[in-house]
Amino acid sequence: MGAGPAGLAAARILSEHSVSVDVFDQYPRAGGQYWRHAKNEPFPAESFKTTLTSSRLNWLFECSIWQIESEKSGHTIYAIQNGRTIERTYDALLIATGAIERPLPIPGWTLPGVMTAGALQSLIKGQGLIPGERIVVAGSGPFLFPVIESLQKSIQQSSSSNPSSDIRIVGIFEARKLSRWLLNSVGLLLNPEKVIDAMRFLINLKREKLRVTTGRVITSIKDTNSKNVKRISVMPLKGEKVSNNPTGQELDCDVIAISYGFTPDLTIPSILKLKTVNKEDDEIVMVDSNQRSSKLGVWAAGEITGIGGHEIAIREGEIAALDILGKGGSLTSAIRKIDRWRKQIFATGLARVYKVSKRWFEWNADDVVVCRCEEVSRDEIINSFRELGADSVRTSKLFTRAGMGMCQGRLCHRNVQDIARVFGSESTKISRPIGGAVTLGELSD
Amino acid sequence: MKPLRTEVVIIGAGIVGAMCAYYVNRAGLKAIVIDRGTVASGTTGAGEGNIMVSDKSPGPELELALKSRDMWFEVAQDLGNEFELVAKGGLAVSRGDASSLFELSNSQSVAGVQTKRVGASEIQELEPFISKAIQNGVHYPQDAQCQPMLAAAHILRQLQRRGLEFIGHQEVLKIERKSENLTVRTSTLEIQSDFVVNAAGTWAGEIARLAGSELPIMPRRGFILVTAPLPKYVNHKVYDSDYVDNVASSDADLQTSTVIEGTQSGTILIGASRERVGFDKSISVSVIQRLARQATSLFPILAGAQLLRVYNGFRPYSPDHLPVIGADSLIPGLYHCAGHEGAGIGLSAGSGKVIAQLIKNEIPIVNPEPFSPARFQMAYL
Ligand SMILES: Cc1cc2nc3c(=O)[nH]c(=O)nc-3n(C[C@H](O)[C@H](O)[C@H](O)COP(=O)(O)OP(=O)(O)OC[C@H]3O[C@@H](n4cnc5c(N)ncnc54)[C@H](O)[C@@H]3O)c2cc1C
Ligand SMILES: Cc1cc2nc3c(=O)[nH]c(=O)nc-3n(C[C@H](O)[C@H](O)[C@H](O)COP(=O)(O)OP(=O)(O)OC[C@H]3O[C@@H](n4cnc5c(N)ncnc54)[C@H](O)[C@@H]3O)c2cc1C
Repeated sequence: MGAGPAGLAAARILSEHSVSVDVFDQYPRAGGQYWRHAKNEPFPAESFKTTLTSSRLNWLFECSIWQIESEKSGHTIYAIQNGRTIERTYDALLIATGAIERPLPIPGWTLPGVMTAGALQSLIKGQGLIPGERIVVAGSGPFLFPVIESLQKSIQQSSSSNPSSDIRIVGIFEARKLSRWLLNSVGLLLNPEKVIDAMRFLINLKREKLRVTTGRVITSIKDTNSKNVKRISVMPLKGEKVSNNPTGQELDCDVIAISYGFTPDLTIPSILKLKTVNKEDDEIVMVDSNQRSSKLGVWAAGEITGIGGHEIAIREGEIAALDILGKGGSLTSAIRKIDRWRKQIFATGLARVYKVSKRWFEWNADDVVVCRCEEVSRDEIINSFRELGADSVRTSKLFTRAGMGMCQGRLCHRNVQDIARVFGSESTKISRPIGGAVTLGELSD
Repeated sequence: MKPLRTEVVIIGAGIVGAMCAYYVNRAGLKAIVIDRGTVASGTTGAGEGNIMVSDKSPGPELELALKSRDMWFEVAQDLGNEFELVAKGGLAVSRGDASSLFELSNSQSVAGVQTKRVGASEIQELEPFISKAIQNGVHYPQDAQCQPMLAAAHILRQLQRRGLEFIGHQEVLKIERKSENLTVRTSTLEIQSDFVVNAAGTWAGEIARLAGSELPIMPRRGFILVTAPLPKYVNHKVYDSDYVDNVASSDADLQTSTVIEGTQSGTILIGASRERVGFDKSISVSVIQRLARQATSLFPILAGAQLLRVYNGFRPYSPDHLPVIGADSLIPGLYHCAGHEGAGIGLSAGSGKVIAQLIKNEIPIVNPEPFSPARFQMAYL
């Protein structure tokens, strides 16, 4: 389930053996978030080309899995493809459904032109489109780098094809200071190639006369009198608090891409009631060294077992596939496990460097909307704890409807959880009993 | 540690516990509500919030339901309607032979329920998106709806301003009778009181046992499909009355009947009918499909509606499907108010009032006999 780096890496190994494999993905093409590409483009990773044409793999694209039932005879997947119900039973399942972005609510984040960095990335990668001319990238975390890189590339392309085009990145703001990288010194020692990656990125920026302003955050976004133009306020961060010293600045732009990292998409794992654990405040699927979940016959790989990037996802997918084939104890698997360990140390350190502090919610105006689908504000959520007696995300949701709308908390669960933690609440496990888009009509057939 | 002292301890902060607290407080008694979780963390957090008179046959439950329905509006008047209480009305429809529906509505109207028979054109007027095939129905203007979790929370919050004490996150582990007192214990608290009200819903049998008594309350699973927000396609609470016939038939598979309604947030809730039917099954694809099929055949426009969520809860039920309201036969001072099955929201106000009246030795608003715990406790006496 999921044809991103983790799912594809597993499929590649499985396709070399005589097992029959179905690969499900809700997108029209393989690649997941990392290898997102436009329809007419070649697949971005050379080493997967033969996998994509393997006769042992049966691809089920634009197919959304909405339910799974587990019985002794196997696991039955219920999915919808082009309005048709698919119902198939399997001996083994590998869940590799990836992550969801985690925005941080700030006043004005619901205005048009404001988007998550991932949404901007998808527009660029999937459709070759830059939705404006003056672009700001802000937030925190390593994901800002690839977004800026694709943005630069895309800007170059558009100015070479249309010399009159004048698209510019007008600001890059990273909340965390560079000095926090000390928190990941072990990770860097074990993964020296990452230092080279970072240097290359910085040199690239320099060449374009761009710089990342660190220790600064966007605290509000407002409309201006001129069409499409937004005015953002950028303030320095002192400790975890917004400060006015040195003074903040204002900046006009028309696209604001914000990223505060990712959170695992636990929709499918929650349907299967897989055991989960907390890692760096994220709920992740609990797996053993062979990526086996708590349920017999179910493996999990990629971002759902912890945010770590595509390289770890690939290793995990491979390790899971080897174990599915009964080769969990092989040398091939052992080598991959060592590599996974090395990369995980880096990823864990990275999560520490770019930790989204619970106190960051304090910068916000009380009436900032946290749950967009149901338009629930921060003070309504706080009120549900202070006044109505909510004691968890679950009960707060019953009172406020935060997380009950179209996206079923995919966007806000993690943020409501962080607000709830301030009130001493234990974390509420994610529960989304319906995994993907399905209509009553499709169910009635 | 010094024990707390009060007149009434109410165990359970669901809607039933909240309403007991309301009427006990109105009766001038000092009370503490205690819950092992927080407010509405039990079945009340899974309920649909219908306050219905239309789905009950004449008898003690209907009598209580009628009174309780009006009392809900009095509570809203008193405390402020911050829980979306509206008398939206119910519409029971029949696809085939409507004789049993009309028979039921006739007897209901004799019992004091407002009913109005409606034909195809009136049905279309009440529900413009309903299937054109529907020819017969009964409109029940008294049927109402509320948001039960908000109701319980709001009632308890307001009562705390009127002297009620609410203690969350304390599980009752023991109930002891000593001389004239009942002592309720948790791992860190001891509360002495004259009366204890067991409003622990599905877990009421457990509470009775802790006190040294017995009560046959069991869980019965029920669930609801929730669609994505839609325009107002469904105005009333609409249900398929054919289940009356279905239940009469011995075909167990047919024991689902659609109950469809819109909520203020725009989502449509599709449930199995309360009261006469119920599942002991877990969420299963086949049941979801059957409910979806029934819903789309009643409202064809819902075929395009996206299913967002399915949730379930455990309805507390007693062997004869009537709630248990009254004094325990074995333990003096212990009262039960539980086992309301699929109607606990609707019946909560009336039940709370009856409890307060029994404690105060007043004549209750309905004859409490049929609800007495004694009907299940004879064997132990
Ligand atoms: C919006 C976004 C953009 C990102 N862009 C980048 C980037 O540019 N560079 C980078 O280094 N990292 C990026 N990441 C991080 C990225 O998630 C990982 O580095 C990597 O792709 C993880 O691989 P994965 O296989 O675990 O998950 P993914 O690549 O996310 O793959 C998961 C796949 O599962 C499918 N899926 C999920 N649920 C269902 C369902 N119910 N039914 C059917 N299919 C389903 C999805 O369609 C998806 O294709 C991005 C993440 C997000 C959320
Ligand atoms: C899917 C579904 C839909 C429904 N729809 C409707 C409807 O539309 N209309 C309607 O009228 N009814 C409906 N019902 C039924 C209704 O929800 C219940 O009858 C009602 O909520 C019961 O309320 P209660 O207060 O008795 O129980 P609960 O809400 O369960 O409260 C009991 C409380 O006792 C607490 N407790 C238990 N043990 C202990 C202990 N040892 N110590 C301390 N505290 C304890 C629990 O934590 C809980 O909070 C529905 C039920 C379901 C499942």
